[in-house]
Amino acid sequence: MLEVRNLNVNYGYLRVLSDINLKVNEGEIVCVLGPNGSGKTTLIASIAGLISPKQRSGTIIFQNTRIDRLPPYDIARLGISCITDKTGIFPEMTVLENLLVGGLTLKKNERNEALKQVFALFPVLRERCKQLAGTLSGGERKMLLIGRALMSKAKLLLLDEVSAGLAPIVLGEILRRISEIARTGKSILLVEQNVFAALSVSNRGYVIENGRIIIEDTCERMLKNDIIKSAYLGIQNCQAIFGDWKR
Amino acid sequence: METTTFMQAIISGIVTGSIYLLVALGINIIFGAMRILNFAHCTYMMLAMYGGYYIYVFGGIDPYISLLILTPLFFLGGFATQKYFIEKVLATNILNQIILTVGLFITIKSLASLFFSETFRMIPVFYKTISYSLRGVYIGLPQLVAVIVSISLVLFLHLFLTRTDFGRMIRAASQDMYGASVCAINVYRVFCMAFGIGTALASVAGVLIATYYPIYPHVGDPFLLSGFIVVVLGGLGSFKGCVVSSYIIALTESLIAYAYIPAFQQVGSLVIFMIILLFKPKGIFGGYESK
Amino acid sequence: MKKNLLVNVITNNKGILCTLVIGIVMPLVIHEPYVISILILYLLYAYLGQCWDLLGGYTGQISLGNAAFFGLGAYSSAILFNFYGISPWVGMWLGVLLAVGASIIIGYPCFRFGMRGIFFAFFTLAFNEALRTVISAGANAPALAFMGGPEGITIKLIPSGDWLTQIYNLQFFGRGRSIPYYYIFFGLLIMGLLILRLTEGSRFGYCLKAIKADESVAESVGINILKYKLYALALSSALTALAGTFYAFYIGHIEPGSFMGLNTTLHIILVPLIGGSGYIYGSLVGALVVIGISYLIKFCINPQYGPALTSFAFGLIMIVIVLCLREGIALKIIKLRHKFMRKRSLTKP
Repeated sequence: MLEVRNLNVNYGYLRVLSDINLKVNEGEIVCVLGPNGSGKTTLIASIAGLISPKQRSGTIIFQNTRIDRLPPYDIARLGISCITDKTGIFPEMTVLENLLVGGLTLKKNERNEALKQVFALFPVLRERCKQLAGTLSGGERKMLLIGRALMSKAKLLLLDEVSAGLAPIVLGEILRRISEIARTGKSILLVEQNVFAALSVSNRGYVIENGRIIIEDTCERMLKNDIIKSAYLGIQNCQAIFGDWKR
Repeated sequence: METTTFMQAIISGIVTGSIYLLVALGINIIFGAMRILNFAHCTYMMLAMYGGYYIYVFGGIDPYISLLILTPLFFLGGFATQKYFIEKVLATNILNQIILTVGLFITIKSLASLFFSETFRMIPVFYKTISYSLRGVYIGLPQLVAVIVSISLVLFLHLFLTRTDFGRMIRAASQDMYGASVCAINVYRVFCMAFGIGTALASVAGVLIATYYPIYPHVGDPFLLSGFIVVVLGGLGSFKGCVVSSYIIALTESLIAYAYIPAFQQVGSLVIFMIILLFKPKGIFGGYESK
Repeated sequence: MKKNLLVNVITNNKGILCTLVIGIVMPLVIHEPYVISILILYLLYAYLGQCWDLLGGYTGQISLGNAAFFGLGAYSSAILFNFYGISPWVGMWLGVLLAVGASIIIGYPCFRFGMRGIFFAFFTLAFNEALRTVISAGANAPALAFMGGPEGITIKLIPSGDWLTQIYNLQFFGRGRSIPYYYIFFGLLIMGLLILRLTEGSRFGYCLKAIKADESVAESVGINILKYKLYALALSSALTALAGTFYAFYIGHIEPGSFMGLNTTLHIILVPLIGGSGYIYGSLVGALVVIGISYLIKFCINPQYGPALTSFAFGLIMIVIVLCLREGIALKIIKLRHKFMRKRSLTKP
């Protein structure tokens, strides 16, 4: 469904992403892992069209249409929804209005349908629907962002660091919802720092380091992968640290 | 001050306040969307006044009717200004933006001087001299119409911004440009529309006062000054703040003019402005985090 | 040792020394009084442009009200001279004091609350207009009538053949009366150049440039933004007020409309913008263009259209500069030279 080929992104003289090749198929949840500064957010931004074409090269194809030269609003119209902190909520509009803006491309009755679905998925949004979005807590904002993205009947969701700043319980809630969303047939590309969280919901995963993909595999195999275990899950290190403490 | 003079000052303040409101809302909408304060805003107002004048003189069409022609025209003018001028400097630093809008301000005003000369003109509509009075306090018919039209337009604008899809698009693009982009909103076109609406508001204000105010190339300047004061005082980007502060400023100016010297009214409002700013630096309803 | 020092000073300050030499020699070569008067105008605007640039090009704060400080300098020394016989050399310091005071009044609210640049621009404009209105009140406010109202003040002429009195009163007579004024304004210009030069090399200038580049970063490095902006504003306004005094006595008559009007401010701003802001010699180039254009229009066009056409030309130039020629002519030339020289060194075998 989504295919990224030979993506290279530069910020000035700094090469941020080199030769990225990535695929997301229908109904899949794909996660992208990696340390800070590895270029994960840039990847999402490139797909969503938020990075100027002058700074990147390579092809991005979504359902047989080339989207790498399109402006972000056209990409959104094709069915890709981007959920990042940069493309945030509209703080001075109510929760309801935020969702309505998300559903601008739909007709009136379709919009009400979508609204019902979003409220079913995130009941807390229905409670707060008349509140100004700027007054919501961090977790509620993330839910609002996801809800807004769902309003447009997007087929592909790009999620950037959904776990950032969330309490573990809230994160668990959101992850559950993400799985439910995927079950309805949407595809999800998930960029994450929290490796456990990501691997627990995804089907496949990529690991990016210094702008290059170093690992590409299904999540089950990745969980057993030694490199991932030591570098990202820190299992061996954890034991060493706890060992010292206990003494 | 006697009661009748006081009441007259209040009436005059309400009339001017309604005009300031239109001008300031225009500035506010543009600022809310693009964080640009358009120095040339009131030159469009001045051009609209000349438009109303010439349409009346050559076509015999009443200014209130020519509003219907002029408003869309100025909307397009604003749209084009944003598209071909302002957009180019949006990404650069604020110095360039200031210089561009000041440049436009000077160019348009001097063109008006060249084509229309500095002579004062007035539109000789028959109803200019009709006025109503209540216990010695007068209000002219054109002024009354100005207040009514202005307030209705403001209500309509508020409904437009809060209840319609277009309005929500504009507000969304103003609050988070990237967030709006990923909601399939063409933010560049929205900005052009916002600029167009702002300019159209200024043009309506212009035509409304053209029925009773002298028309000359520099007529917009005091409105620009007061308009900026109103916008900052009310809090940048705040609709409510605009409404409240335009009347505060207009009433202050009016009272100073009636009680003291007309020439000092702007000095007075500037002083009041600075005082209020010391206590509430973000304006009365200051919402926006000015960068 | 001393010889090396001298050589060093000369090579490092080539530009200023050149300007010094040319400027000193000029009136000895040119005797036509009309040309001298044009030169004086050029010197004035180049100097005023430098004063503006100190705040605008170096610190990044655009002031649209420099004419107000110019007028303050002019009016204060003229009033002190007319009513109390105080020499303008003393009176000009009142102008400086008032200018600094005014700049603190405007600057403090603007800079303290971290308002955006456009507010400062707007504030200075509003202040300028307010001051001008108050000063031209004249007939409406008898208390302020001593300021001469809209027609302004004429400086009392005290004709005298005695050199010392002439210098004391800043009023020169006889053939070649403009030449002392020329040297005064030339002195101002050189002083301006030196001040800009000193600023560029000093910590003060470094802080200003940091503020222009990125305020929040500057603050995080420990630069007290409020303090430095106020310093720059105060310096800029004080220097402008000085010029106001000298120009008032040169012309002999002060009018609020021409001294403190938007037109004057426009001329002042255009000088560094066209020539290159943030660059010492930028104003020198810019003033050439500004004066050149105004005189060109004056000579070629029907005088009735003159002022409006000049404004139009300037407005158009501002727009064109912003859209095409961001850095100004002088800097653009330097950039092109660098590019050319780099190309040459690349093609060298």
